[in-house]
Amino acid sequence: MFITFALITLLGALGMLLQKNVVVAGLCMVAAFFGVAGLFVLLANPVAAALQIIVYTGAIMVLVLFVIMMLNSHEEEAGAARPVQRWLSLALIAVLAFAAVKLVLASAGLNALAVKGAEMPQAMTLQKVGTTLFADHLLGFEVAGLVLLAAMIGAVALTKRNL
Amino acid sequence: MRGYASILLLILVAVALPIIILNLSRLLRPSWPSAAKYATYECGIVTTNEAREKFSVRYYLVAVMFLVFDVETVFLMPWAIQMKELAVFGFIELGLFLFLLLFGYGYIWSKGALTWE
Repeated sequence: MFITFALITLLGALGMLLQKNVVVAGLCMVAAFFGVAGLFVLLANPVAAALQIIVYTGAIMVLVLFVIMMLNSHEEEAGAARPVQRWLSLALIAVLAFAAVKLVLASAGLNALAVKGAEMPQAMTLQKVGTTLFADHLLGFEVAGLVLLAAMIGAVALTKRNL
Repeated sequence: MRGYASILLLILVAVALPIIILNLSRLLRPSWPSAAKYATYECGIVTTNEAREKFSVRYYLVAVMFLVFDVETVFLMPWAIQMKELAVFGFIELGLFLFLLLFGYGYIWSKGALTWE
């Protein structure tokens, strides 16, 4: 199961990067999002899986599609060669991937699971999200509200001709 | 992982159904193609230009608004489920959050972002 979802995610991401047709690239992105949602289910976090599908494949995808439709990018220049940037980005990806794997391997949660007969973590439920979000992370919650407000005002400021 | 089998089955059926229908009809139908048949179907009207033209930036504004209120609903859901346990404090907290978004809503309304100019 894990291999299936990981393959869907990776192939979707690769397809998105390599696909020349932007609309097909967007569809590949949706496939990758679904793969990530499946991985969340495997991690016993159905809340994150549902949010992944509602927010990412639902809303973010629409946003990306509108940007594609606005930019009319099939008239884009045919990939100017930027060798320095290319190698820099590859090196950055390598460093980030290495650091991410290191971080996961060093995390306390994983080490606790590695012990034989360790108790599996409980599945995340909406109830738990509610209690932690509104008790421990209330500042972050209100900041999220502010960020959404900023997004609204920013969108209006960017797209309206005469404010 | 238990209980997800039905969801997986639904996804599989949803993917398989169009594949089956399209291929089955390809096997059954006669095939005499002509230039007129391969032309883009546009509600019976002769097509005037490509489908990939530049769309107005106004659609983008609508998309951003949809995204913002979609995320807002996502935040409402865990509160609604824990409403009794969170009691008055949670209600005030959510009220503050909703006030911020209602303020934004009033702002975009007053700027005429909801009207199609």
